[in-house]
Amino acid sequence: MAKRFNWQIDREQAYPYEAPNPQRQVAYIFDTNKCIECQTCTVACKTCWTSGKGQETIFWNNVETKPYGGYPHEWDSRLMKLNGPARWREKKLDSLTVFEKNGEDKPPLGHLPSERDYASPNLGEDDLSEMIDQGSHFDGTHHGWMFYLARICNHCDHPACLAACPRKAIYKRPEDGIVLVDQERCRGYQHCLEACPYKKVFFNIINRASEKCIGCFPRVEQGNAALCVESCIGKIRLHGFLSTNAEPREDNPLDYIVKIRKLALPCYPQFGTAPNVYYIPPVHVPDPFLDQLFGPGVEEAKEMYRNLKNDRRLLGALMLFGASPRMITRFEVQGDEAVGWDVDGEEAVRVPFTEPTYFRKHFDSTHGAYRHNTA
Amino acid sequence: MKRDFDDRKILIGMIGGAALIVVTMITAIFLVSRRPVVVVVPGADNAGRSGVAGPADSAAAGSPSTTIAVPEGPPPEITVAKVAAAPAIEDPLDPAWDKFAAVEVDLQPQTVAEPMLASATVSKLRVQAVRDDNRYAWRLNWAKAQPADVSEIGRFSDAVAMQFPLVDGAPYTMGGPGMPVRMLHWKAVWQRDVDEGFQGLAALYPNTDVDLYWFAQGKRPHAASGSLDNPQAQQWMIAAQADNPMADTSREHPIEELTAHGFGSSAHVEGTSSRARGVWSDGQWYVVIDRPINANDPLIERFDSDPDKQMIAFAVWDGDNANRGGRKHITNWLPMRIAP
Repeated sequence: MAKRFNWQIDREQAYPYEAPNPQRQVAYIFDTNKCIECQTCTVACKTCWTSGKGQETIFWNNVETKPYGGYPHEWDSRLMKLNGPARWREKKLDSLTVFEKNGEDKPPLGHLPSERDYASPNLGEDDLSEMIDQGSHFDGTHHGWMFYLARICNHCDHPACLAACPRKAIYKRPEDGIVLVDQERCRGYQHCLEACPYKKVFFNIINRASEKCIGCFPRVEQGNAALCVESCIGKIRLHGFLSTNAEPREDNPLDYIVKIRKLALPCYPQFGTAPNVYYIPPVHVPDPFLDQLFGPGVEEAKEMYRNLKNDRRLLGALMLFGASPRMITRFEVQGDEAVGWDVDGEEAVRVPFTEPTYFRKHFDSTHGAYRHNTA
Repeated sequence: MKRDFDDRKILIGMIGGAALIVVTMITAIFLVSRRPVVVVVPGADNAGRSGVAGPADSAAAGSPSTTIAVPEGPPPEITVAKVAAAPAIEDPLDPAWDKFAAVEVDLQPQTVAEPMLASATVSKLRVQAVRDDNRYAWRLNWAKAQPADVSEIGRFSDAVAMQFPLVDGAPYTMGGPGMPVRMLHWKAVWQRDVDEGFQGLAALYPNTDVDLYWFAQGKRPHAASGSLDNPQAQQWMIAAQADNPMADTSREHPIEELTAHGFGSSAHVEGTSSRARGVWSDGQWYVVIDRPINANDPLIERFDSDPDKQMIAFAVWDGDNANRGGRKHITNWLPMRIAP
């Protein structure tokens, strides 16, 4: 087993392969505070990529309600039960990752769901953490909470699916870090399903081979954001690249939000795969749950988010979310605008900090018509 | 900080305690047996392992912690008897088979390369082998309480395979670099595909309905083979588009021929001339696999080159115990003598 450094757990960890970093790493930031679980992302992905026979219960993108939702059923709590609680010393993980738990040279720790676990993608939808007494909303804030967690493949730095495949039918692209299943080589052993902590590799019962989110690579190769990102009506998502072989760049919105400011956090970093979907934690959810889900740094991130109005550069980066179908690789705050440039160095978007307001007169003299506010 | 310090003390105590127990045990064994005690550290000496015939070219193949236990005595020999007419593959229960000698071979869980088989559920395989002027035929028989013959999430198929070296010295562990082997692989789910039609969604879940399959033609439930063959519908059937041999919704034969040069390297051989048929009867699988005697067949050429000194190995998968890929029961090479 090789030893590889995992920056999310601030230490080296075991992994079956040594490999150089990709030239750059595709990454996403999801702002959980803005997600309304409309599932537009899910439908966009499903329509484009998984509408076929054998893909009936396959959702490369899904949005589930936390704490009780999960697709496939209990994907995360079952692994946490097997792996035991995460123990952190400051930012360093003291407990074992899925690559270490079974011992050296063993397949990663995991569990294989059953077909039924995929049958109800929205089980637990909108369920609150606790019962709310009738009328309690008259008494101020109640304690029950829930939030929506949008999930896709994490295109991990250390993918467990890749580690588990005895045929090397899963590979991570050196040009952008996208993780793919070789559709010619896969023989449907499902070791990848078992190993992926996020259960984002799926078994197609018609093709009898595994499939997973392809990171919309045909779009990424042209500098366009993934379909789930572009279609998000709540503009909760940003798609770009993290720097891998150099210091994080202040003008790369992904580097800035994830690595420099640490406003967005990885999902279950304790599993050790170094996932590349980063979440801005929901500010209304109690820390203990979020600590378990996102690891160290939740309190700081929440504080930063609450203080955004005074944090012009960070706010500028957040204004790029959903603002362009292009992947933004560089940004700047110019006066009252946040400006983003695409992979070709072209200006892709310019977002004002304050949306201009227009007042329209009651009578439109050009058209000789009255305007009615019928809303 | 106090808590961390306590944790560390506990850890040191545990390690120290464990070391003390190990030392005590070794001393005790020495005192009782008066023999040198060798403590084997798994993975410490890859080169020195006996029983592993070649390097394992596997993704997850690390250092095996155990090797195949070699049974006492010489391994059983498979004799391919010359007969006037080898039984056809159509009926694996053909009484003609009862006239031919059977050899019982021991199966062991595969523990050479990860992913290994933790515990064995099939221990014996009965092998019969005959040939006539036109074909070789083997009948393989093992006990299985219920057939496992579907392919689903977390559900795997019973299967059996025979392996032959294509060069001398090829390791029984699916060959090695530059030392290829050839396999003939029968799967129960493929047999069911052939017997009853492709085991797709409607076969697995008869009450399922799906709102829409884009570009599907004909009537629901839109069989994967037939109503989804058009290029538009095939856009989503990527493994089939990539000619993945697993993704064959109109399979004609329940057998696949493969070549390999180490664990994790098996590759489909197009257009096998072998045929197979398996039936499950009264708690037993009976699978017949044949091989026509054709010129320019590397397997037949090898059989002909030295009929007395052939090798064969077997693998059996128990689908109900999540056997697939490397999680299988295997034999080492067994001598195979082709009677004149």
